[in-house]
Amino acid sequence: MLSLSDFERLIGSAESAVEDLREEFHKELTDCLGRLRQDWTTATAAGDAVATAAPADLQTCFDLTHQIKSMGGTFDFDLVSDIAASLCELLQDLQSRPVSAKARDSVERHIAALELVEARKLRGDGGPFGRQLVTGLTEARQACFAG
Amino acid sequence: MTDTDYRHSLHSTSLTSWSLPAHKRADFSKLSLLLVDENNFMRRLVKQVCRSFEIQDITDVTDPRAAVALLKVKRMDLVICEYLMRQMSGLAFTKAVRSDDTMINREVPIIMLTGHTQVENILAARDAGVTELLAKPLSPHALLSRLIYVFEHPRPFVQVPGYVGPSRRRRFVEWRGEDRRLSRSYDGQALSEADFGRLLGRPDQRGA
Repeated sequence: MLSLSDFERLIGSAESAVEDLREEFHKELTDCLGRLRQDWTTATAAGDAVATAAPADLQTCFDLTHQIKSMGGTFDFDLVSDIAASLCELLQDLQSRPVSAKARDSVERHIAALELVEARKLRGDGGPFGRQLVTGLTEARQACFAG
Repeated sequence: MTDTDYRHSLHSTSLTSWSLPAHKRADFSKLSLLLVDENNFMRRLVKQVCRSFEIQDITDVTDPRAAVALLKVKRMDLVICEYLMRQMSGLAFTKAVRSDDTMINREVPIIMLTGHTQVENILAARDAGVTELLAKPLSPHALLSRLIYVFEHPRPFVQVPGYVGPSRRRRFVEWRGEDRRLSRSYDGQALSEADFGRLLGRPDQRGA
């Protein structure tokens, strides 16, 4: 078995390796967000107040959002992960329901929030502003299906 | 972290199947690793982390079908694969490796990375023959702990109708009651604990 000092040495080395990929992470995140916006536009191309998005298109959006959520966690972008987690839940709910105007608005607010956090490179949970943002988005998401 | 905390953290992660030669267990630089993930960035990330664990021989593959073909011809010590892949899911990939009795790497430990940690997904992974599931987001500490556990605590490899893979039992609890299993009988007569004690040169401790 590895000694504790070897274990800690390897962890330190791996954490440096993760840090070295930070710039690449930002490029990947920007790319994922661009694809997410594009795929969401495709998924709701009908443009009606209430539309039924193709499950395959929603699944693509969900997979991308899930990927964003995972990457955010690895690179200490907890706010990105939290917003993406809320969006994942919303997209999952939409798999079995029509996309109402409220739901569409909520998805777009989530995507805009992710873009903002990415543009400002906000690490951690974003402080009080970040927590308020997540709470607000979560409440808006829940309101989509209330009543 | 104290040495005790460190050892506890390894034991609290979870387990695996397959026994690696001692010289490789102590030294990750001798391991051959196959990395399977369609996502270029995640593959690069895992590869970099594994490199920093001093694993030198890393083959990374985008297409899980190509990974299955590779595992038929090249001996690997470990596979790390993604759960969510379009060409072939991580579960289908694992089943393809475990179910092919001509596969030279049939018993290779498979660590699956996933962000989908719902109970049904964990059970499906276990039943497909996945050795370890590692929840995303990826953390170097969790991955290294899993790697150590995989090789330090191998589980027996099981082939029964409907399942091929590492034993799905994670805890082996010593049974203190009477052993009534027929499979323990020999020549029509059950062997007692006293018989075992005598045969193995151990005193019968029941009366102690």
